Amino acid sequence: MDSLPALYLLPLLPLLGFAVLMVLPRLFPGKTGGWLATGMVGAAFIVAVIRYLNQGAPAHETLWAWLPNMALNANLSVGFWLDQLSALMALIITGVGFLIHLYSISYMGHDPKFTRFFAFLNFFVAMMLILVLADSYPLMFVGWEGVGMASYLLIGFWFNGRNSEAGDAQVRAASDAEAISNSNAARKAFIMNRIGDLGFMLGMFLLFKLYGTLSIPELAERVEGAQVAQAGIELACLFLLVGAVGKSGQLPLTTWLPDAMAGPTPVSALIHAATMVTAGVYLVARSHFLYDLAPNASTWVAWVGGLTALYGALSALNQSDIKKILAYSTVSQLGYMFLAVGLHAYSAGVFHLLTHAFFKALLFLAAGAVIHALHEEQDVRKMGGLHRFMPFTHLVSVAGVLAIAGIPIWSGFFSKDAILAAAYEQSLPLYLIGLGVALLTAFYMGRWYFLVWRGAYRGHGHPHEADTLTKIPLGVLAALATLAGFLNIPTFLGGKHAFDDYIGRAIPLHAHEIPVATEWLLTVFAVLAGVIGLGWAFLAHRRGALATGPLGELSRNSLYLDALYDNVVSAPSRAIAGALDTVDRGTDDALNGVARNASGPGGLFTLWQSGFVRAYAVSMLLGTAAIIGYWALKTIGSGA
Amino acid sequence: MMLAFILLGALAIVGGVITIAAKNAVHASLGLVGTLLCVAGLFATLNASFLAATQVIVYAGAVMVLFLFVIMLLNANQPVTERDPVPYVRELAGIGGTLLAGAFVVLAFTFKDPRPLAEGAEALRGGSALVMGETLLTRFLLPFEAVSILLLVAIVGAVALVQRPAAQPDGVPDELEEPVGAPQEERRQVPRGAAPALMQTRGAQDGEVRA
Amino acid sequence: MVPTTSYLALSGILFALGMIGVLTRRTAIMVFLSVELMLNAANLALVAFARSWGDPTGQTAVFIVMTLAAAEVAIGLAIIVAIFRKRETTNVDDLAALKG
Repeated sequence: MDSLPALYLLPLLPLLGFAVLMVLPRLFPGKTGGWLATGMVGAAFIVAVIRYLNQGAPAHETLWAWLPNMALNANLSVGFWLDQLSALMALIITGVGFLIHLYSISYMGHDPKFTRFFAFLNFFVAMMLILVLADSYPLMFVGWEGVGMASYLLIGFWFNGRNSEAGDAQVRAASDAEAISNSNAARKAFIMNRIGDLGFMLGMFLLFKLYGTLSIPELAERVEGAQVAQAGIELACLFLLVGAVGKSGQLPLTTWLPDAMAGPTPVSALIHAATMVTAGVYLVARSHFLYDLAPNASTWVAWVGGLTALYGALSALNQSDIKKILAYSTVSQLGYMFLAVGLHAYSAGVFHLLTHAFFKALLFLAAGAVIHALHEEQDVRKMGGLHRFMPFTHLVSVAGVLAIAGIPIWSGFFSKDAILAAAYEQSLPLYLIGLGVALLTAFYMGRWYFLVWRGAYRGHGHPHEADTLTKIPLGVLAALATLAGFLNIPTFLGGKHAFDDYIGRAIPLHAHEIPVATEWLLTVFAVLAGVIGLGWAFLAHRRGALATGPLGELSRNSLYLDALYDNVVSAPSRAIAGALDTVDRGTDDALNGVARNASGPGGLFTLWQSGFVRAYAVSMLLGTAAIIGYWALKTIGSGA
Repeated sequence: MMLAFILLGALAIVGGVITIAAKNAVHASLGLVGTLLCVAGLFATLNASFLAATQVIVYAGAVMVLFLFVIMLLNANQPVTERDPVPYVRELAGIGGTLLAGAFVVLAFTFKDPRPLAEGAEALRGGSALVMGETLLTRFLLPFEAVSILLLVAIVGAVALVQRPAAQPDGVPDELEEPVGAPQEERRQVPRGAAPALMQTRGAQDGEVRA
Repeated sequence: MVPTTSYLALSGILFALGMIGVLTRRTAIMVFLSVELMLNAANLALVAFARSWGDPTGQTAVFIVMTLAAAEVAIGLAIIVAIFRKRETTNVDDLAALKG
């Protein structure tokens, strides 16, 4: 083990990149800053691969003592914990992160803040690695907040609009409007995340109160034998769920995630699809030893996930922004993962996390290539027929759509199937929701595909194929999205559950008890849902009725959740603020009146404040003389 | 002994009155010198011979010379003659001061010696340099060193205070002052030697004022 | 032997004189001179107490007060000179920036 690169290298390398690019941006003219950042993440990926290949028992490497008395018999230290789960997450983050960095060099090539963009991306990767490698909840929270910060910075990356310097007044006005909505989206994400963070912190406090330690390995050993109130564990798990819900954009804190698409597309791919938003899933999987003891909280997790999956799918049906469709799809897929981990099917959830990271990053990057090709056009109604102009991007998009729709041999099929099987085993309503969502998913992704790639071109610009640097990540991700499913072929298909076995070394698995025949049936249902969804989209496409999806305005406004929050939370807040403002002004006026009345007699005393030092000194002398005189008189009196 | 006390005490009070009442600042400081010398004598009657010597050398000597020097330097030996802007300050100060003095005297006579005076005087061993040195360098070593640092700081501070600031913006004649926001090119045209020359003229002006 | 009380009374009188001087004199240098008078009054009391207790501590304190007074005079006079340079006056009433 001695010859292995240390774990702290993983977050340190991108952090170094961030520091250098942030402090000395002038040293990196042109695109060199982007290459440096990409190199740093690539180096971290190599470290992650080496550690993965040489993985034995979980490795625990502590760096230095941090919080005194926060662990059972010692001080809580800053340390990293590498087991199968965190190794997998580190691989996803550095691997997908590397590809997206590479993609960004081309995608952000013309941006004036190119170097800063890569500094932020590197910062994000470093914080995300701290999050997944942390050996304790407080350290995880550091990464948790760090990725939130990076997310805020990157959503609001175009905080003054993309064309704030444009000569054309009209373009500049549009850019200013965009600037406001971008900044608001960033703030919204930040504030929504704060709600979740409060839950995370309350969860940590409660865990410390219950078990007296926040170190994850210690806690895992401790929970088995500890005698604590069942309600305490349930409550701690619910608090952690609030944290996970905030970070992963689940109901009811989901509204920030679609708005987060205001950021550059690589950011949407990396942060708001592949890695950061899955932190909530990771948190639940990491705390599996707690959720195993808290059946009620786990049910909550599952239902939050199920409902969010449904919500996301319904909202995605009639969106017209190429990225918004994918964003709601992300919400929906994250719901699937929550559904899985809530049902204690951690392996299925994490497996879906893995495949989703591939195919959703792929779809986002393809969408980015399309947006680029059409000169920042994001409205799918103004696209169409692009497969003629961009054959390569079209091909990889097909792979992504098939993967997310759950068509056999593509990765989404295996992971979604595992989740649905787990759902069927434990809760029929959740299974039906999952199946329905699978159908809806296939439909809206079909709609996305046909609107963008098929039919006649409805736009004005001249689309062009992406450049080579863009094609490399797209190709790699397409291959992964296609093949990753074979990591975990279920037994009834002749596979060996390789992935389940691997994760099973970190998280104990729940044995499958479903008969093979039932399992075949479930698989057929799932595939049928995907095929029917795609077929439905195809038929609608033939009728030319795709531009407006089903559910009309209800879906377009994402079930009016934003409006609901506006009316239920924001409007009363504004009313209260207005009322308080009136009260405040009234109070001010009253106080001013009192002050004005008092200033009359007060003016007399200003005569005393003449500014002459001697006048003050005389006052002092008289006071001193009075006190000492009184003392003297008293002494005489008592002496006599 | 009593005679010496009465004589010295009366002289000290007379000196004090001269100090606060003399119109001419030089007379006032000479009155203070008298008081200081009388206090030195009183120290001697109190078995504090070393302090008496120090009082004469440091106070009546060095400090007062410094005062006289500054009075002469600033030509400030004439009293301010305008009307006093602070109303009734003399009266109030007189009343307050008298009250204070009376109270002090009353309190002084209630003081009771903690031990026979002769015994205390014996214990002081004449207040010689030996006794003082012993106390200063053993019990009060830290305050002693601290005071030495304080003196150093005072020297540096005094030098820094009277040092003429290198460039005083409001002292520069307007025609030589750079216009605010002038373009970089024009600014460079001001010759480099301008600033020292300015300072010299200023020095000459000050000299005139002082004379 | 002269009783301590006499010295204390003398000290009190000198102190009050100095106090009156501080209040009535109007040039900074004269105010300063009066402060020196007050310091000496306090020194006298300290030495008297030293004899009364038979302890050289009081005398040591006086020694240190003298040192402080020397430092104070150096700084104070430097300030007066600096003010004079700036405002051509040593009249304390002209320095009324504290006016409320």
